[in-house]
Amino acid sequence: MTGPSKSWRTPVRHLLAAVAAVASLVVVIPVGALLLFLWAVSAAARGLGNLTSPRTTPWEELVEFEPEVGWKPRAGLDCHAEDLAGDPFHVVTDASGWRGTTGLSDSDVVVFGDSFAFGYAMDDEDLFIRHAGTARVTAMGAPGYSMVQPVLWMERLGDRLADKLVVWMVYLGNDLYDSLRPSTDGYRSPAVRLPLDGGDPVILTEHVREGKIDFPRDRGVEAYIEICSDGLLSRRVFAAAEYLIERGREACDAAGADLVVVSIPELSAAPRELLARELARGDAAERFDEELPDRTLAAICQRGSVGFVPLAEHMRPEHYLDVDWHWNRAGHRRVGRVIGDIHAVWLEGGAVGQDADGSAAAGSERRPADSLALGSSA
Amino acid sequence: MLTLPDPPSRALVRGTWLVLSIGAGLVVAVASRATGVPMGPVWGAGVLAMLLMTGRAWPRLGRSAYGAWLRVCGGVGRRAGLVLERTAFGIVAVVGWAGGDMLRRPAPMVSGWRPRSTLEATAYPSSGAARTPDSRAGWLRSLLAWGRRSGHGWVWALVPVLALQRLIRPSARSGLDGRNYTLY
Repeated sequence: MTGPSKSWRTPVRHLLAAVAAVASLVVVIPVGALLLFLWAVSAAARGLGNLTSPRTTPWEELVEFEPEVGWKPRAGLDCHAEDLAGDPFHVVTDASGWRGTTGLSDSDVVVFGDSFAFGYAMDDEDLFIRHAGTARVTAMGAPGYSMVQPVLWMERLGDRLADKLVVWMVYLGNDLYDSLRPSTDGYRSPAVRLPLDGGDPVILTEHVREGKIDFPRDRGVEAYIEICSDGLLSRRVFAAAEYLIERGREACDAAGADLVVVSIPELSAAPRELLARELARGDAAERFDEELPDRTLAAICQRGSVGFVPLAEHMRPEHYLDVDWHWNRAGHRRVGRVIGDIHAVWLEGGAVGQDADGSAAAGSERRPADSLALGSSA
Repeated sequence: MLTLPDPPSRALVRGTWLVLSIGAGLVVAVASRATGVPMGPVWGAGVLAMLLMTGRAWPRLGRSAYGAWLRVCGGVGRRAGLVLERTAFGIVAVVGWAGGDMLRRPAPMVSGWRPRSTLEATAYPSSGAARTPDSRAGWLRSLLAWGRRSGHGWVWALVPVLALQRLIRPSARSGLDGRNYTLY
């Protein structure tokens, strides 16, 4: 439009518009009243929701940069954080920055892992570490960790793990794939490099520095499908997993600790919905085998003489939150019981989580104790 | 703005249940008073307390109520959007009776085509979301400024309709925003 119109039409338009505007009030007023009522109710719901929730601390203030491993929770936290759905949860960390107040030296069980091990989205009072029976548990997990950071922590802690049971939680949804990636959501993270010439894998940490980088985001559910489909990516992530589990076992052996790997299945509603949608497209469903990761990890652990417990045998979708994809209160209770049972079997000198023939305990809905008892050395 | 996020946070479900419970309590209190039932406010408070306890005992009920509220808002919003759209087109059509300036006959041997300035090359990836300088001042000021500049002051007539249409725009945050963490 170049400039104001000097046409005789302008005042006519204004007149017609005024008449039309007055006539439109017949529609606008009732529709507006209805919409304003609905808007007021929605706004009040938002307001009351915020009013009845504790104030949360931004994640930037809860996590700090840590050389080599990338990041870790801050020490001495006692505040509320926001989960992925926007709901608050109570976070307490010890003097080293790990959840729980037992402390590493007084713990019987040390749990390593990602956000599940951290207890993301769950109040401190309801964490799995509080449901492990008589076992005193410290959870050394952090949001976004892959399988690499737990190995680095095991090697760093060394003798401080002596005579303890080390439980390494591996979330099948992304930990396997993230172990190969030098960045997690833009943060530099340690990663495994698998040489193309078939040489020995290595953990890369030189690039880990503070701050974010522009790095492609992970492929989420697409990568998960590939990992469950025995393709190139699948073989690469399991080669990396075998290398990491071997290094973890060596670190635990050197410290005089025992290692058990616990796999966490992808059962929460939001990722399941994405997965179902993705599988419905193309021919991915034909090759998709969701038991492949547990089978492969069981075989890796068997080769490395490491205990293995697939949580798929103990968990159901109702143990997960509706929006955020972590465990809910019931899920934490269930996981706590499983860890307590693993600890009890370990105290009795049993081999955890493997059948008499060495294969991983399989089947559905067995009680944790039944599954674990299979691992007892006979 | 009118619609709430789906899926919701637990706080939002709780807030919705609280508002609906308070609303139900008020309706009962007012209806009791209007129909001459004694102790109307007490009945209202009783209904409110009962609903609050029910929501606490069965949190799933809150989720269902939230879902129902979303459906109501969605259904009303869609229909209201159609009505408002037709009303806006109606106003424009009435104004159009005065005819337009664009059909003016060009001078002989002179093209009616005008050169159009193009976008910067860097703007192309997001040209759909490109903002004019005016739009930074807000949609209403931008629209009215355009109307004043171009002699189309009649756009004032559209303002109530457009304002209501903005109420029924989907919420900016709908569903889970990706799966990323904010760390340090």
